[in-house]
Amino acid sequence: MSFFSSKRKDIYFITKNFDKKIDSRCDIVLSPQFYWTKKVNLNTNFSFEVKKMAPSIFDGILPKGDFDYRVFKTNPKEFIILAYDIEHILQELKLLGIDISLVDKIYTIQSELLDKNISLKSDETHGIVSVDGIVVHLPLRFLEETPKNSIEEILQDRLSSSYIYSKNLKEMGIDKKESNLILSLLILLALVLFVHILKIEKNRNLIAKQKEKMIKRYDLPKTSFEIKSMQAEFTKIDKEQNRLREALSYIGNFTLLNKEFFNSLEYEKSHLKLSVRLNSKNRQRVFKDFVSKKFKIIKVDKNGKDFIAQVAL
Amino acid sequence: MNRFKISFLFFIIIVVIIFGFYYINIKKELRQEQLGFRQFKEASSSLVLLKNRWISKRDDKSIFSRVANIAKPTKESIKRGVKIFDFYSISQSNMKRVLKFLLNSHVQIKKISIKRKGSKISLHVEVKL
Repeated sequence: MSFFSSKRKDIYFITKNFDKKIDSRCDIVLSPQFYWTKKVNLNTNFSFEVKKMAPSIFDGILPKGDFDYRVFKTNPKEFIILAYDIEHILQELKLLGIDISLVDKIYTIQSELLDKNISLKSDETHGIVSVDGIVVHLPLRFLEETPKNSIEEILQDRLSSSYIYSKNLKEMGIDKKESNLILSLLILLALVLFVHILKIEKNRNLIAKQKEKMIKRYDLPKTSFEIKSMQAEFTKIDKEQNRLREALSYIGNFTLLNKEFFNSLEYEKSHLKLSVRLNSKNRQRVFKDFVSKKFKIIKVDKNGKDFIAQVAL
Repeated sequence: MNRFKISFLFFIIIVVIIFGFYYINIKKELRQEQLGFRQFKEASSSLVLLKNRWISKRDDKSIFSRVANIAKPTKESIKRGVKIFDFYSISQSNMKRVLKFLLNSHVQIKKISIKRKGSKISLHVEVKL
């Protein structure tokens, strides 16, 4: 049993003989008494594949319980597997008088001393030894030499990130089934979003293709702005040309009497200049009224019998 | 929950958030593009109609040869994309036929000048090519 503290938080090495009183927040490191360890050589390079096989590897060894597994790759195709029942461990810690609410994280000595070939003293009677990569807790009398260093010195360094329990995660109140459900729902949501994103992208591509096709087919400019400006230009042309045709058709409908005729007709830039020989002033007035019914007369000139009118179309 | 699962959960949450934001963003863009495309279609269909009327479907060569068939122009020339027909002496009926034909075909008439001196009628027409 050992007790030591870091600058921030106390760290306790816990054996089944632990009898200290814990009264502040701490992290604890479990002795091999709390979990099962096995070293295996398997024809795989991936820890997750080994984790899948872990229940069958420990088959017949473990007591009844809800076991989790942690796999550490030590060499190519060589793995160390930890099996632990966290609920059972918490029960045992409670029986040792440890207030679980003060425990932030639980580590295993196996994960902390994984890469170290060690022989350490854990208390006056017991020691920690690495035997072929597996950390074991033994009485000191079984060791050939009494270890010089104590476990406190090694664990003075920062602990690894391989904890098996975190108070924060526990406080989130998410158990295994709920976590699986949440995960499944989130994955489903991500998939649904992904499918929708693909659909939208497809629609966007379709619109771009249709636009491209239209531009190519009708020889159109690429932007709406250019189209609008071209449209305005053609609308102006359309209006002018229709107005000219309408004006000529309308003026052609004026009934000329004997000895009456058009001297000249000039059209340019939306303006029409007419010179008509008419028999009397009255006829000139009739012609003027006829034209002004439909068009705006800008200027009128009279030269004897010739009536000259400038009309805006 | 083990650490791997927690990490994976956070990863999925981040993925969902990123997908969510991206989805909202591209949905907005799609709506704008759809609206833009609708406006583009409307504007372009109206433009295509006008272009067809005043440019595309016109066959200048056949129009001009038909004008020459109605009445032989005294002078024909092209200046700055404008075809010029000059008839120094044309009968009233031919003048009417030429004008009627040009006005009915969708050519852009830039200038018309008809002058009468006694029994002589001169006609000057400028048509945009």
